[in-house]
Order: sequence, then structure tokens, then C-alpha cells
Amino acid sequence: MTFRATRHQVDDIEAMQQLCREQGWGDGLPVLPPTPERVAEFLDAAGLAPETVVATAPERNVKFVAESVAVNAVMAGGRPEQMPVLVAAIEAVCDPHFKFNHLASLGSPWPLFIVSGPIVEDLGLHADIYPFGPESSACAQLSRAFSFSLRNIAYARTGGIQRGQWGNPVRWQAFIGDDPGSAWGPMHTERKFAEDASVLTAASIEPGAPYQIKTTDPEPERMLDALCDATAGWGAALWCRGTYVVLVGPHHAAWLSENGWSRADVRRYVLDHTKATVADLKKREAWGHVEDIPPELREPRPGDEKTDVYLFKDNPGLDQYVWARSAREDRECDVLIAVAGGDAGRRFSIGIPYEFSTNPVSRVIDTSKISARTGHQAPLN
Amino acid sequence: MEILSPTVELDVEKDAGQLAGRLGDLENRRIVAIWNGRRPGPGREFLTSVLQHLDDRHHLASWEVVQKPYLGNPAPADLVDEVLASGADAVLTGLGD
Repeated sequence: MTFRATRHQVDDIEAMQQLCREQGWGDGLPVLPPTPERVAEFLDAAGLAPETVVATAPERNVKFVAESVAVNAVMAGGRPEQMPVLVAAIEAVCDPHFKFNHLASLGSPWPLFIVSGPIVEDLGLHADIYPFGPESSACAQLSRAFSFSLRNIAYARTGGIQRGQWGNPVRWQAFIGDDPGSAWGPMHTERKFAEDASVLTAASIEPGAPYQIKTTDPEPERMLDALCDATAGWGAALWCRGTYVVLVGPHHAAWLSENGWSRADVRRYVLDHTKATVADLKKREAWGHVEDIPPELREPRPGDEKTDVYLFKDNPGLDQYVWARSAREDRECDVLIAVAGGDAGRRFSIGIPYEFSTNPVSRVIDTSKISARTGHQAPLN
Repeated sequence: MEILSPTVELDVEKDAGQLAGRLGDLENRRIVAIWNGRRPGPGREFLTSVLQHLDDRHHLASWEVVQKPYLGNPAPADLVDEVLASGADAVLTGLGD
């Protein structure tokens, strides 16, 4: 293979770390050396020529060329067979519908990638207990590879373009598997993909999320009411319309399924019942903080506590007062429900969409090369 | 040991395009500003003020502030075409946050 990248000579692995620190290529943890041979192995695993343009981000005048993506993946310590997943992730965030450039925002959003389908088991992507913990090695490697790719190819360096107030810990653990044994089947069927496909879905979320909410009542509607209350109650002035990610434990999914609730039923319930009162929204400064609204309209009025505003539905006569500018742009208001995490505990987890108008984007993962490497007879998508 | 750089060196001539030609003066020219659309914020007012100031000083033929559909994406081609079709002699892009 012929590579275009600048070549460097280093004496050993320690010298590699030193060069990485000097150049600002990494995240402070040790990296593996991206030798031409190893980079070629990663490209082969995805069936990509070095010069292939995986995706473009015109906002940064950037092309994600396969060679550079593979170099970053090698440095991150991953496996060659993860390359098609990383490629799908980069394709997804560069889709104009996702709106790549919002990742530089002060609010520190970062994509959460939910992977569903046979590839979850094929690559050992973690969908089980403690998924955001440090032992989800394949997910952590992919997270790091994605982070490095944006850092080194699209200038997403802290203090450079990346100037978020708090940063986002999801950048360390951005990939999660959708439980392949879920009672509801794979998540991507809700997004109209074939059941046997392997699909990656990117959803940009606020830092601090996914955050947990606890439920105690086993009655399905009571459980989901708690979920709706938490979804509506988050974020003070951020009454944020968009697509929320809800992570449901496998035991909760099984329980809801046994009680006649499909994934679509749960989604519909959350869409229909997530609301706050005008009084609540005024108290949390999520009301009237838009242009051209007289300040007196922000003051409490009789009846505010009895007037509901729905998060996912239109509110005729009220929406113009709500701090939800993103609703005026091409933004989907929806709920993505994935099944993940341990099978004990009474908690849901919610990923809050970033306040600007990003949308989730899904991509089918090309598994043809992966099945050849792992020996698993993965379906062709 | 030989390793490959993870960064991409921008080929300025090939990748960054070329600077637009400079106007010799602004008198009797049409200037359009493309505002990124960020709200809340004084962006539109700021750019309007800039163009008003240029008009006062240089006697423009006309000026206008237009808005991108989404602040984080580049201006779409149809908006750029529309601006050029309006007879703009120069176009400013501005954040105005």
C-alpha cells in the first residue's frame, strides 16, 4: 500500500509516546505505534484503499481519508475488525442531518453510538452489566479511535476548536451495544432497518448523560411516568426538544414485554406523556427566554400550574414562549430506546439531546469483511 | 521503527480554495452579509450595523443581511446562488454572536 501520511522514525515504544506528547496527537494515555504494516492490516479489514474518502466535514474543510482514520484506530489500541464500525461512526456524524459542527459547542456534546445487530456479539461490543465502565474494551477502543480521528483529522483538540465548558465523559466511552438477546429484538428495526442487519446509530448527547432515574413501582405505566417526569424535568432552562436516548435494562424490557408493552408502545407513551406545566417552565427559566417576548410574559400568572406543555408534541399557542429554538429547525422530536446494562436494578438511563438541532443518524455497518476475519457467518447487509 | 502521522496536512492550494478577488472600492456596490442565525444574540443587529456603517461611509448601491438555515452548517448552495443572483459584488459571512 502507498501512504500519503508524513512518516516519522522512533527508536522504541517510549519514543513513540514522547513524540505523541510533543505533537499533541493523543489523550495522555499510552498509544500504540501506527506502523505502515499495522495500518495496512486495519484498512484490509474494512476493504478500504488508503486514499478512500470515508466522509467529509465541509464545516472544517476536512476529508476523513481511510488511511488517516486507520492510523488513529491503530494508535487507539483497537482491533482491525473494528474498522467498519469506526467508518460507520464517521459517516454518521458527517451526515448533514447530524450537523457535525455542533460538537464544538460550549455545551460539550458528544455522540453516543448505539450498535445493534449480530456485530454486537461478533466484536464483543459491550451491552451487558456496567457498559459505561472501564472493562468494555472493544467499546473503549472504538471510542478512543473515534476521538483520535476527530482530534487529529478534524481539529477537535481541547483548547483549539474543542472549547466546551465541562467536556464530556462520553468521549471516553461513546459506544454501547444494544442487547442482542432483548425481548424487543434489535433497536434498529424501529428505524426501519432489516432485523438481521448490523447498524450504528449516532445520537449527540449532553455531558452528564446518560443519567439514571430510579423507579420503584412495577406497574408499567407508573414506571414510564417516572421516566417521563425525569425526561421533562432535566436541565433547568434547557427545555430541549430533540431525540432522547432511553436505555432500558434487559429485565425491564422483558417485564414490559411480558405485560404487553412493545418497544413502540413505550416510545409512544413517552412521546405522549412527557410534559411540564407553564409554572414549572417559568420557575426554571425555560419560558419566555426567546427574542421578541415582552419580559412581563415571564412572570407567573394564575392558571400556569394547570397548563401543560408537552415536550414531544405541538402546543398551539404556547410553543412560541418556550426556550426550544431547535424546534424551529429541522429537528426530529423522538425517543430512541435501546436495551443495555445489567439485568438487576430499578433504573432507566436517559441521554439528553444537545440543545442545538442535531439529529440521530444511523448507518448500516458493512460486516462482510468482519465475518471473514472472525469466522462468524455474519449476514450480509 | 517507522510510524505514520495521524494528522492530515492541509494542501492549501488544493484544499482551501482561493481568496476571492478584492474590490477596489465599495461605492455603488451591493454587499450581502450571510448571518449564521444564532439566537438569542445580537448577530443580525451587529451585521446590520456593519453594513449600515459601510453604506454611510462608502455609499453602497444596496445591502442586505440574509440568514443561513442552520448556524453550524455551511451556507447551502441554493442560498449562495440566490445571493449571487441578487447582484452582490461582495459577500460577508459573519457570526455576530
